[in-house]
Amino acid sequence: MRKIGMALAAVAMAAGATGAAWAQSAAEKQVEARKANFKKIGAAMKTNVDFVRNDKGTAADVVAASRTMATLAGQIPSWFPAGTAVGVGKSEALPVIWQKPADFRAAAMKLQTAANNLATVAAGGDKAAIGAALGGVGATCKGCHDVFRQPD
Amino acid sequence: MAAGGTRVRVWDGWIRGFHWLLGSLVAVSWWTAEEGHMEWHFRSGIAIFVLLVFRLLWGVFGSETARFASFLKGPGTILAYLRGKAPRALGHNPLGGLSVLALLGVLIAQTTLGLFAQDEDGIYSGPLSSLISYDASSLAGEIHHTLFNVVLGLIVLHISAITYYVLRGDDDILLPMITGDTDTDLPAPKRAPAWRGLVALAFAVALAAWVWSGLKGL
Repeated sequence: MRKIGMALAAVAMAAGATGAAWAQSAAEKQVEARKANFKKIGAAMKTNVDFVRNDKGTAADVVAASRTMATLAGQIPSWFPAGTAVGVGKSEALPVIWQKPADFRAAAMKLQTAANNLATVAAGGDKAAIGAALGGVGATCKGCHDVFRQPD
Repeated sequence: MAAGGTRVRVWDGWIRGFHWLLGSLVAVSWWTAEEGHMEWHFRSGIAIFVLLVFRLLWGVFGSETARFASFLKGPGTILAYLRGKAPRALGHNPLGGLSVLALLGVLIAQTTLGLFAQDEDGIYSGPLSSLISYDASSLAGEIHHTLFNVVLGLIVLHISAITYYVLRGDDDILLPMITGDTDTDLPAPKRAPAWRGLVALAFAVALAAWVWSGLKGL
């Protein structure tokens, strides 16, 4: 009986360890998913930069990419569940995100506002104005990263 | 290159200007990237592009000691030099020629990657990044970041080697890169006329301007 008890204990410990490993990988998966989402914002940014700087694509592409950006910006706070700060996988999310959630949400909303503005301006087709609006978007990216993301 | 003999011009002004500007701009590029002054990082990078294009042209059309054909040697000559059996000559020694090749090669790779690179956020991107995809540009950015360690390693090796020669004291290697001159009984190397330097520089600047525009018109 004692042997069986020990075997059961060993199985329980192994299951516990597996559970811990699984829990960890769940948080890591959230970090990976978050990074994939931010890359979508980055890809939309590239579409906009390519048009403004290199005449690649059309103003309509900028409208579409900016709308994508605005939609994603609205989701940003939901990409940061507790337990996904720096230290989990490749996370660069600083703890201040969860210490000042209102500030963090406000920073994400600034991107949404700037991206919506870019979509509106791009629909007008004035290249110089599009460039200025794009600069506004870039500033909100940088503004948030400077405070909430771990420096390189 | 032992002391004595007559004073000859071993490095022309083009090569010395290239050398010290390149060293300074690599330092500027490093600092601006570390501090996040990316607009200045791009300017520094395109200036390095000008220097590298000029150096490649000067390696073919320039003064004798600048020409690749004059200082790139095969393994046999390099081994002979290491055993102290190579004939005395002005300019890069056979081992130094390898160093020039490595430094130029890695800086050309680094600068080219920088032209195509972006950060993952797509905020800062090189002038040619619009020619390639988001993923390719991000990858170029990552390699650009990593390859700089190789650049730093080669620079450390370069400065160590110069320090070694200076401490050994029998090879006048440092001052000529500043003054251009060395005292020798060897014949003075041939110098390219100034107009060729101006043409090479003008070509390099024009090419850089076109690259900076994202190869407009291509």
